[in-house]
Parts: sequence; C-alpha cells; structure tokens
Amino acid sequence: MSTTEMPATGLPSSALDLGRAVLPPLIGSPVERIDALEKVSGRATYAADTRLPRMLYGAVLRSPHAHARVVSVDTSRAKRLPGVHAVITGADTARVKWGAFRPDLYPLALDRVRYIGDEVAAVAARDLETARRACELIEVVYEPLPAVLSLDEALAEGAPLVHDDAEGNVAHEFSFDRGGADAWFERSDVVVEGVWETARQWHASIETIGCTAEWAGDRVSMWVNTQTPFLARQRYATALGLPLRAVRVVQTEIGGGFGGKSGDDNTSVICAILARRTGRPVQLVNTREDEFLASRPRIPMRYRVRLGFTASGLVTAKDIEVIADNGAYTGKAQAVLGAATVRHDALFNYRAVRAHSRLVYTNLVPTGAFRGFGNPSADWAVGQAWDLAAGKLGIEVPDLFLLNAVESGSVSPHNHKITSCELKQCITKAAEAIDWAGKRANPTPNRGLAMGVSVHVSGRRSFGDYDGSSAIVRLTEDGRATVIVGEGDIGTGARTTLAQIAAAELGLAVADVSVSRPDTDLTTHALGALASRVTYVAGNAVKRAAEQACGRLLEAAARQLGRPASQLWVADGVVHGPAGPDGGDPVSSPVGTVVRAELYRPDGEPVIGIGSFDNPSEFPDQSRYGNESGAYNFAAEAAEVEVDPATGALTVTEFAAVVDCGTVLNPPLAEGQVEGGIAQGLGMAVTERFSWRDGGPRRPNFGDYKLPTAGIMPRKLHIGFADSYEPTGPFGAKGVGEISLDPVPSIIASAVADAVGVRVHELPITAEKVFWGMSAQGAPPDTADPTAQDARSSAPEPDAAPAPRDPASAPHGSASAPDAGRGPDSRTQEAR
Amino acid sequence: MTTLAAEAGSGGGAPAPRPPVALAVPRSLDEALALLAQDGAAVLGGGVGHTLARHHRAPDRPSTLVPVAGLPALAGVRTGPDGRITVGAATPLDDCAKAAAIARVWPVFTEACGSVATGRIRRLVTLGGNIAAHDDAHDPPVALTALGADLTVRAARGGSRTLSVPEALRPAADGGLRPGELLVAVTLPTRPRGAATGSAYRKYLVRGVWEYACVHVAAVVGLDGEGRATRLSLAVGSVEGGPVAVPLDGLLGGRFDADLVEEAARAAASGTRPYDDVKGSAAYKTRMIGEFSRRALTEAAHRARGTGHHAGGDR
Repeated sequence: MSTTEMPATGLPSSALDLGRAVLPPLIGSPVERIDALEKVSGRATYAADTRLPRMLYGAVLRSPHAHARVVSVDTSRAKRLPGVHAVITGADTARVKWGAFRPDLYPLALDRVRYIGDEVAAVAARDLETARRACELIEVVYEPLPAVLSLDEALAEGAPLVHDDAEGNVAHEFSFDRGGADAWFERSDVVVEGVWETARQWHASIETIGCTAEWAGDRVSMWVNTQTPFLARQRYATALGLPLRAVRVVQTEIGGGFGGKSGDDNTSVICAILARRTGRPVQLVNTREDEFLASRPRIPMRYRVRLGFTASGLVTAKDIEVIADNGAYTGKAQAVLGAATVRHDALFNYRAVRAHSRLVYTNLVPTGAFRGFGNPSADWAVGQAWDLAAGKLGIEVPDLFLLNAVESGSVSPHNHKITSCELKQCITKAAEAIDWAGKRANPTPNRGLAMGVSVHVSGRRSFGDYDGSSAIVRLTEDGRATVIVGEGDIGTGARTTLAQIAAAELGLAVADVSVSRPDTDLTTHALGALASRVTYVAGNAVKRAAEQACGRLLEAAARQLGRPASQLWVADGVVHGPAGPDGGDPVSSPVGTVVRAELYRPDGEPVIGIGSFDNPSEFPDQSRYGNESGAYNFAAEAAEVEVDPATGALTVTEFAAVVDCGTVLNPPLAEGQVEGGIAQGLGMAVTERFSWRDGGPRRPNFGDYKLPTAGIMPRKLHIGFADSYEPTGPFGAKGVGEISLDPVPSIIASAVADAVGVRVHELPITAEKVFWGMSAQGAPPDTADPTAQDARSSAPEPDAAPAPRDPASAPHGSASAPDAGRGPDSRTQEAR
Repeated sequence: MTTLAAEAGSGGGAPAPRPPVALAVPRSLDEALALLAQDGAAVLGGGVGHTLARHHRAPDRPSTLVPVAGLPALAGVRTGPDGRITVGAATPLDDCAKAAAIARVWPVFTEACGSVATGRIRRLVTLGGNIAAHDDAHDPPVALTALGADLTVRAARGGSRTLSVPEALRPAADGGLRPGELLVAVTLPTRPRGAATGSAYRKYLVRGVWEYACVHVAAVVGLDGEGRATRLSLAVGSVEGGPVAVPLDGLLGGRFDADLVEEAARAAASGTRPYDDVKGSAAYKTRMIGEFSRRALTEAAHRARGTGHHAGGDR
C-alpha cells in the first residue's frame, strides 16, 4: 500500500475574515501520544494485566441452544473440583433485568436461554484451567424451544416470542413523516427504490472484554476496560441490585473499543457476583470465543429505500422502512436504530422524509453499538439508492451530491442544526484526489469508480437530557498541570489530545501535562468515549477548566509580580509580564513558583480550574425529532475498485477520503482514525462474516472471521481534511473517530456495480456474490429472473433512460437478475 | 475455550483434577521412537497438536508429550547423490520456502510452503507437522501430492516405510500413518532429463493473506520438444478426501494448448468435491477449482518453456 498523504489543513490564511480565533502553535501539531512509551514497552495495564492479592479467575458456561427452557442446573460436581471457590447460577443473582434502554437481560439465565452464548452459570477458581474444567462439570438440562433465527422468522405470523412481553417480537418501533412524502413523490420525475441488508460485524478488538472485581464491605470496585465508566457504573449497580454508591468503576488501559466495550454485556456483572460470593478478588476476561458468542456486534438491518428527484437532480423525498435485528437482548440497539433512521437526513436537502423503523427480537447474538452507530448501515442502503439515482438521472455522483448537499446554516427535517459544514469542499477535494474526471474520461475495463458521503455527530444526546463532560485542571507546585477528567482513552489518543488542549490553553509543554484515568470515585463525571464526543465535548470542558486555572494563576502572579493580570501571559512554563509603568524591568516567574507562593501563604489556595461543557443539543423525542448534537462532522470518500471477472474478487486500487472534522488538532492521530475507519469499513463491506449453524457461528474464531489486513487495504490511499472551523468546538475542532467508516460499504458496492454491472444487496460483498451476479448477466434471457426490471416501471417518468450498466434497480432491488445478494452464498450467510 | 455443552458424565464423588502431563525430551531419533511406542505418548512440535485440537482430533489426554522438532536427524534440506532433495520433517516451512535448491527445481513446493499463514507461523511450524496434522486445507501436502513425493516414516518396531502423501493420510488401518510412527523426511523426485518441466502453486484467498484458501491447486507440467504433454499432474486441496490428485493420463501426449488446459481444468472441477464453508459454497468452489487449475497449469507450462515471469522459471 502506498499512502499519499494530502497535507492537513494549515492555519487559516485570514483567520479574522473567517471569524476564527488565532490558534496556538500546539494546535495542529503532531504531538506524540503521551502513552506511547508505556504501550510499546508493554507496561500499560490492560484488563487482564490487573493483579490483586488472592485473586481468583472466572469462567462462564454458555447456552448451546438458541432458545430453550432451563429445566435444571446441577453444580455439585463442579463445586467438588479441587480449586473451585464458587459456582453460581441465576439463583445467586439479584434476579433483576438490566439494559441501557429496555431492561431485558438477567446477569445469568433464570429459566430460559435465548441465544447460543447466553450466560447460564459461572465459576471462580484458583486458576483458569480449573475454572474452565469446572464449567464442563456443570450439568444443565435444557428443553429446547422453537427459535426465531432471522428477521423473517421473527416477524412471521404466530412466531415464537423471544420475550413474552414483546408482542410480535418487536422491541421498539417508531415512525415519522416530515414534510409530506407522498406529495413530494408525486411531484418527482425520477424515483428509485431498492432493498439493502447489512450483516453482523464484530468489533474484534485486540483485547477482549474483561473485569477484575473486589469487594470491601458493601462496596465493589471494578477495574474494567469499559469505554464508559460512569454509564457502566449505573448499569452494573442496577444489575447487581445495588445503590449507585456501592459501585466504583475504574478504567484500565483499553485495547480497542469501537463501541463494543460500552457496558451492555454481562461479563463485568458476573465477575462482581463471583467476587462477592468468594470474598476474594476475581478476574473474568472473555476468551475470543466468548467475545464472538456474547458481545454486542453491529446490528444487521434491512432497509427498503425509496428516493424521489426532479429531472434536474434535486432530491425531493425519501421514504425508508427499516427492520433491525436486535438479537435476544436490547442493549443500545434501539438508540442505534434511531441514528440509523434519521442521521443521514442531515446530508442532503430533502423536502420530505418518511420512515418506519422496527427493532426485532431474534434468538441470535444480541447486537449493539459499533463505530458508526447505525450510520454505516444507513449510508450503505441510502447511498446505494443515491448511486442508482445518479445513473438514472445521467448525472455524475459527485455532481449530484454537490447539487443537494447541505451547508453551514442548514437545518435537517429533524431539526439537526448544521453549524460548520464543509461537505461540498470534501466532495470536491475527494473527486480531485482520485482524479474522478480523468478516470471517467479514460475508463479501464473491470474497474469502477464510486463516491459516498456521510455525516456524523460530535457527541449525541442519548442517555437522558445530558451529553456533557466536566474536568478539573490542577496546576502543581512543580510547574506542571494535572487534568482530571472522567472520559478516558480507548486507544484513539484522546488523552493526548486533551493534554494538547490543556497545554495550549495554559502555555505549558505537553510533556508537563498529565491526564488522569477515569475512576468514578475520583475523577469528574463524564459520559465516556462514544458518539465521536471526547474531542468535542471533553475537549471543551478541559479547555474551560484550563482557562480558569490559567486565570487564577495569572491573578496569583499579578499579586506576586506587581503587574495587572491582564498584562501577564504564560509561555514555556513561565509567567511573563511587561516592564512596570515606572520603568522597572520586565518580570517573570516560573509557574511552579507562582503556584507554591499562592499556596504557601495565610489562607493560601491551590491553583485549580474547573470546566464543564454540555453539548448544545436537544434530547430527541420519541419520533427522533431534535438536534442530537451541537456539531456535525462530514466526509466524502471515493474509491476505484477492480474486479477479477474470473472470480468476482475485488481489489481497491485507489481510495480518497476527505474529512471535515473542524480544526485538526493532531494530524497523525486524526489520520489514524480515518485510516482505521476505512480498514474497518472494508471489513464490513468485503470480508467479515461467519458461516452459521442453528443460530450460532459455526466456528466463532478468527479462522473463519476475516478481519481486514494490510493485504486488502487500498493500493493507493489519499487522506485529507477540509479547511474547516467549528465555532463551538475546542479550538474549532469536531469529532473524527467514526465518520470515515460510514460510507465505505456503499462506495465499494457502487464501484463494483460500476465495474462489472453487478450490485450486491446484502453485505458483505463477497467475491462469490459478485461472481454469481456476473454469471447471471451472461445467462440466456429465458432463465433470468422474470421479476427483473428497471425501477423506471414504477417511476412516473416513462422515458427516463435505464441505468446503462446497472440493471439492478428493480422495484424490489434485491430481486433483480444480476443480484448476487440472492445468490447461493447469501442464503447461507445469515443464521440459517 | 467456551464449553457449549456440558459433556461431563453423571456420577457421584469428587471429580479428579486432570493428571499432570509428562514432557519427555528425546536426545535422538531412536529415543523419540522408543518414547512414542509407549501408551499415551503423543508427538509435540511443528504445530500438530494445535491443528489437531482445532479439529477436535487431538489424542485423548496424552500422558507423555514427546517434542521432536529439535532432533538433528529431522532437520534440514539435503541433496542426495542421486540428485533427489530430502527435507527433514522438522524443517520449518520458512526454511523450505527459502531453500534455493528447492526453488530451482520445484517452485510449486516453494510457493506452497511460502504461502502458509504468516512469516511468524512459517518459522514455527514444520513440514512434518504440517503433513501429519492431516488437514486437507494445508498447502504443502497439495504440492507434494502433485509432485509424487515420498514420505519416510519410522517406528520403534517395524523399521521404516515409504508412503505417498495420499497414502500417509489414509486411516491407519488402510496403510496410513500409524500411532507410534513418526514422519521423518520428505523426498522430492528429480526432474526427468530430456523433458522441460515446470510447476506452480495457485491459492485463492479472500483476504489476501493469513487464511485458509478458498481453493488451492498444485500443477506439474512436462513438455517434449514438440510441445506435447509428457507429464500432467494436478492436485487439489480443501476438498473431500483431499489433497486429491486429478487423473489426467488421458491427456498425455496431446499438444499443451488452451484446449488441453480447459479439459484438465474441467477434470479437476468435476473430479473433486469441495464443501460449503465460510470461504464459499461448494458450487462456487467447483468453479474456482477450474479457474485456479487453469492458472496453475498455464504458469507451470510457462515455466517449463522457460518463459515464466516468476522465480523458478527454468528448463
């Protein structure tokens, strides 16, 4: 892979013209990660590195059935195994259901198991081998029950219920019609329609989920690799039947989160129960198989999308129907479905949008938050419809996007208020980077070109009417600063960015700023690393705290140096002041000296600043109306893909990503986020899947589950950033952690369609699906699918030209002839 | 490990903890064979145990593990006085892939060994371990089947035997590797004099690296001065009963051209039975076996003619 780096945006050339603050030199500089040394030297303490005296090890026994009644559990043999300290079942729990939005999960099954992997019993023993052996000795009698192993089975008339209180297996449902979709469709010249489906994708972090728990009296301390310590504490307390005050959560180092470590699974809860039962610290870390069977992968969603356009290419209306596979328990899936239904409406100037979304229980692995939070599914399905429309309209995709893109000041149908927006700049730059015009002018056989766009939030008001963060900045007596903040770092470099923001505000070197790790007993309250929020929300809180600390420092220095605070400044760790009015020399004093002098006096005080920032957003109502974030980030990405006509295998020959994340605080960190998102997007688009049997992955390990490697990264990769400034962001910054992933599956699908005329409607886009699609193209007409026809037949413009190279735009897109989504491969793909 | 089903039998009494396993390190091949002749002994080394465990075919709780990868008698690549190359069973696959003597003569074997997993794994696992693991998805056995290589196996009693790869992989009762037997060496054939011979290995990977192949095919082609096929060997892995040698004798003597390649590819596709898995449906794999047979045969013939553009093109 040869990476061509487009330079990150420099400082604005005319900062005043743009209403921007002049940025300190630290902002936008490639500051090295503050945790680089401890990570590369192996000193970082990840969840499984925690060691407490007398610590025991846990293991979990899981259901082998997709749906069954638990008739009996006999733990007597397991308990007699030497070295076993406790064997627990549902009877040993508080018997309380928990969950982020819809409490439906017991820590251990009481009388029913609802998916392969459901927790039935757990063991604490002197070592892992003994704990696992003891699990084998637990005797469980199951009475298998009829299971629903797909969306269609779950929604079928008279289907067995996954939860008795969810009629028709619908866990959550909402709909809206904003702007009058029918009327706008009637006024449309071109209508495109299709059905697109995504699959489960696992976070597959290099470090699995893990916890170490220890009780002291009635309080439990949990060292967890959670992305969201404060939210997790709340849920763990519920699950354990304890008051909030009885639980302390401390964040360990985190080896990748991607949404998968945001506290919706049972591992930590079981660990705490084992620790209480044994009276000793217990560590419980998922095996890779545990992680595949019982973490919370990306939600498969089936979209039916309908888009209307005027003949000149202005988008009129959008109508979507979304069915999402919740799996057996809810977690954050209903919030994900909300984002997957509304967020992308902040991309284009739709006149009307209508949606009906349902979250459906199945007897499959529960699903939940994953980088992108519903956006990749939406961008895939809706992006495919846009690509079809461009073909029908005869307008190049970038031009169609530019014609309809939102701008600063736009307001979406859901009241998403767009402050800074450089979407058009992203589209133009991405097209230039990949040489769209040149490639179109000189097409290469079997190569296709495509573009996708996305919008993401910078924090999201999801968990009650608060999306805030708070921080304390303490200037120390030795001239450094400690930032105390509850957000944490899941591997993105967020702590480095926060140190950079504090250092820039304080006038200190980054090396002189340390950032705490979240501890619900010690650090400030915060929601954690989710929704691309840490840079924007925590960044603002830290900046405000640093600003206040700096102000107090200068007030102290003013008293000490005899100059007004307004004339003082900090540079390189020293407070400086001008010459006195009576001709004295300029004054200066090291920060540490000022701090110590302020403290070492009668009624002295520490120099501390506090800061808080609540996202200037609205808590969306039940129909998802409300401005979910104070700032939105945007991206345009383009790809050239080559398809091997003999196999259907694809190679991404070139990829360009241009992201509007406001000010780029730290270019290498931002580029890393963009690059990583593209890799994970390619995994979702092309390689990541399981073969399923009876409701579970046949082989829940990396032998079958293909994470992307360097081998499938684009042969040539351009990463760039828009010249952008977010007025509400810290130094103009917005979030950047997720957006580059969002449009990737859609882009790959469109590029394959452009290359060989096959549009796959069900992820992932395997070579086999493309191959069968190409084979069907060559089939004689009488054997082709008789339902295949172009969307024109249902569109009000009878003379619109069919998309020349894409015969897949049938009224139900997945029924068109060269549609590999329905090839033999796809039928085996999902839970059948 | 996740225990999906409680497999423990019922019955009272405290369950016994697992007995400890002995590690018996042999100093010589004879000592290794003597140890392996004992009940409850199992070979350790070369990645065998790991692969067997993955397929749930590991020996039932061995009482003694006998590491063999360090035995000098099993190490290294040697060329004998007859020109045949012998590879010790404990030779790491990475050494096999880097042996110039092999690459000059049989690039199909070089490519197969070099395509396994990743460099770290190739440096750890051995040729003998790779074969003895009995996995039809493994690469070197496919190349060795196409080549018609000889495997030398030894036991404490009964001396040594010589087997082909397909013979060795049969059940013990049908003449395959028996308990207590150790694969000690692999001997590659010489190239016939007077005929241009080329070979090639083609592997179809979904992700491009570090995965079991969707299909993998080894080809050996011999051509006479008139361009007629004097040797045609094609072996296919990841199919039922694999690796499978595709019978192509009916095509010998014919002119090696596109039609012959097509017929051979068709024979490979129709003569093998791939299975459905996450890498693809059986129907797709059958089509790909045809395609990759075409590619392997074409490249092997290129190399036979000395026109190959890959290393190992030779005459």
